[in-house]
Amino acid sequence: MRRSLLSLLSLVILAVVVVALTSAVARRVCVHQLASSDDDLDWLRQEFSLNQSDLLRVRQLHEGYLPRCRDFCERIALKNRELESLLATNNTVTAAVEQKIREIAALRAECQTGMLRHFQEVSAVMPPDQGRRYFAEMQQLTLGQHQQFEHSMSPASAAHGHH
Amino acid sequence: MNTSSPDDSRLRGILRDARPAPELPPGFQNSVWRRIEHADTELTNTFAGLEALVGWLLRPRHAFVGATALVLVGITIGVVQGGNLAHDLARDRYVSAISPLTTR
Repeated sequence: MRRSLLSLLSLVILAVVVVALTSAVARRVCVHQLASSDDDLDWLRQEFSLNQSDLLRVRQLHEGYLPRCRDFCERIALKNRELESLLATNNTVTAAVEQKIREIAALRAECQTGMLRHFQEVSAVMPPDQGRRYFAEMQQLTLGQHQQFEHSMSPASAAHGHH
Repeated sequence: MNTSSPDDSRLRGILRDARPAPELPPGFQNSVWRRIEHADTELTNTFAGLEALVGWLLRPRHAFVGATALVLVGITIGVVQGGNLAHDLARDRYVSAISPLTTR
C-alpha cells in the first residue's frame, strides 16, 4: 500500500520536474531567439503591425531623433554630476545647488517636450488607430513614470509616508 | 486495603440509578464489526486502485505518451513565457533608446 503511494508521489514529482526543466529551456531558447535582434524598432514593428513603408518612415524619424536624445542624455548627466559634486563639497542647500536643480528641471522639461514631439511625429506616420495607441503608450511608458512618482508623493495618496 | 465505607457504595448505587444506561439495539455489536470491516475494505480498494494506476502509468507505451505530453506542456509554457519576456525586453530596449529620462 505504502509502495503504491510512494510510486505515485515519485511520478508526480518527476512530472513536475520534467515540465519545469523543459519550460525553462524553451523559455531561454525563445528569449535568445526573439530578443537577439539589434534593431531598436523591432518592438514597434511587431506591436503596431507596421508594414515596410511605415517602418521606413518611422526609422527615418527615429534616426533623426537619436542625436537629439543623446544630446539630452549627456546634458542631463552632466548637470546631475555637477549637482552631485556641489552636494559632495557642501552638505547644505546653497543658492548654487538650487540653481543647478532649476537647470536640471528646465532640461528635463525641454527633454519631455522633445520626446512628445517625436512621439507625435511617429504616431502621425502610423495607421491612425495604431498611432493613437502608440502615442498613449509612449506617454505612459516615459512621462507616466514621473507622474506616478509625483502622484505617490501627493498628500491625498494613501501611499504617502507623512501623516 | 479496602477503604470504601458503606456510605460510598450507597452513593455509587444512587448515582448509577440516576444515570440509567440505555438498552443497546439488537445486533449492535454485529453492526459495529460490519462497519469496521467495510472501512478496511474501502481502504484496501483505494490502495488497489492506486497500485493499478501506477502499474498502468508505468507501462512502456503509456509512460512514453505521458513523458511526451509532459515535454510538450513544458515547451508550450516556456514558449509562451519566453515570448512575453522577449516582448517586454524589446519594448524596454525601444523605450530606453528614445527616452533619456527612463531609468530602466
